[in-house]
Amino acid sequence: MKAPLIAAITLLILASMTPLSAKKLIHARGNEPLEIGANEGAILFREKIYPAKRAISLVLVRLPSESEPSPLDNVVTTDVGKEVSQAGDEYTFIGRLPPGSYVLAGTAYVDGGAALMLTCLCMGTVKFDIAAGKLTDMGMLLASAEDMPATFPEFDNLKLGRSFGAPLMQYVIALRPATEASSILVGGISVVTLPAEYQAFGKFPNLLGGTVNRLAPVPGILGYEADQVVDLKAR
Amino acid sequence: MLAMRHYLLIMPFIFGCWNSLAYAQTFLPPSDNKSEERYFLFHKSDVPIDRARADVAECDGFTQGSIFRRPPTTVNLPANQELDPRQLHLFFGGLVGVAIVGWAVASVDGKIGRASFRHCMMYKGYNRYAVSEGDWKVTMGLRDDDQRIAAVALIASGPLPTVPALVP
Repeated sequence: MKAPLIAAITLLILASMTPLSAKKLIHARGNEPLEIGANEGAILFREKIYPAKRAISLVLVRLPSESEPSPLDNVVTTDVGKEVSQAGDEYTFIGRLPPGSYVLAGTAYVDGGAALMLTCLCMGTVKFDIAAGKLTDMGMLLASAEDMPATFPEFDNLKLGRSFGAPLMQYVIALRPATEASSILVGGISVVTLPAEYQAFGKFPNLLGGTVNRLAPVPGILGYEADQVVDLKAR
Repeated sequence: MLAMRHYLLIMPFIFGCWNSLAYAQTFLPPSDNKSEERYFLFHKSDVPIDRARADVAECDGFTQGSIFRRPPTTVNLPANQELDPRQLHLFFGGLVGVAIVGWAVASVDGKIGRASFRHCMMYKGYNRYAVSEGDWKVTMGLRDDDQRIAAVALIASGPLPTVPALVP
């Protein structure tokens, strides 16, 4: 009699320890056709992560319209282990989510039903639109532990702080946008992608917790002057 | 006495825990006893005190979002986000994993705050300098927000420290 009670209490305690409450991307399966409903959009993104060599979860925040409440109602995370394909150290994910304007807010650890915020791109990032009925190609996300950055050109000339020894909590993160429309086979059916139109997005509070950082500069889109975000498209 | 089928039943759960543990270990930091990683202040040449105060206040604000600070609202999973029964072991194992990660993260919560502060001040062009525990306690260590920000800003805009700058 005691065992189920202890198990229930334990689960309640564990559940209460999950700090990041978020919706999860409804991931597509690689062997099934991608069906995008009339009132939803979809994203395609790829990841390369060092040194973990395992996918991480993206945190996207949908910007609310004037009639909507806090953006914290609109946090969407992706889930590791649900990639539609893996080739070497490159993971590809596809998933469905509500259309709208989204901010690439950071990375998280998501496993099963719970999540922890890891890196917050609070000091500069990008936003983009997800159109209804379309597959928006976010391009490639590159992430690396701060004290051992991978040799991606996007990480050249980055300012690096000292690591406090927890690699996954101190990422440097870069984005390599998709440049043109393409197509991808999902469940044997070719789906046309629409490259995400990124725009620089300024600082936002660290409401979700996590180690504060910023997205590496994205040529033609996102730049910095000291700690100020520069919208390169507007120049 | 557990029968074999009971062991078989809990194996997926153990697998889920193990799966999460393997990932969770990446979060565990080494012990960090170097005082310079705990006790430090910032300085930037020729920065006016008002500018320094605004910079410190902004960076201090970023560190207030502890990893264990819950968002003010919670969101349920969408109704169509049903759990695959075959994934249940990963769900519960995942919860255990996240709890373990949560414990690990809680143990480094202060380090996350300090790393966030360092990142923020680094991007603003400030250098970081080691100080004694005593000096830290009457500046960064102050509990009152206004007093802490004023004290850190005063040092940040004051005379150049005589000790070499640390890695940001």
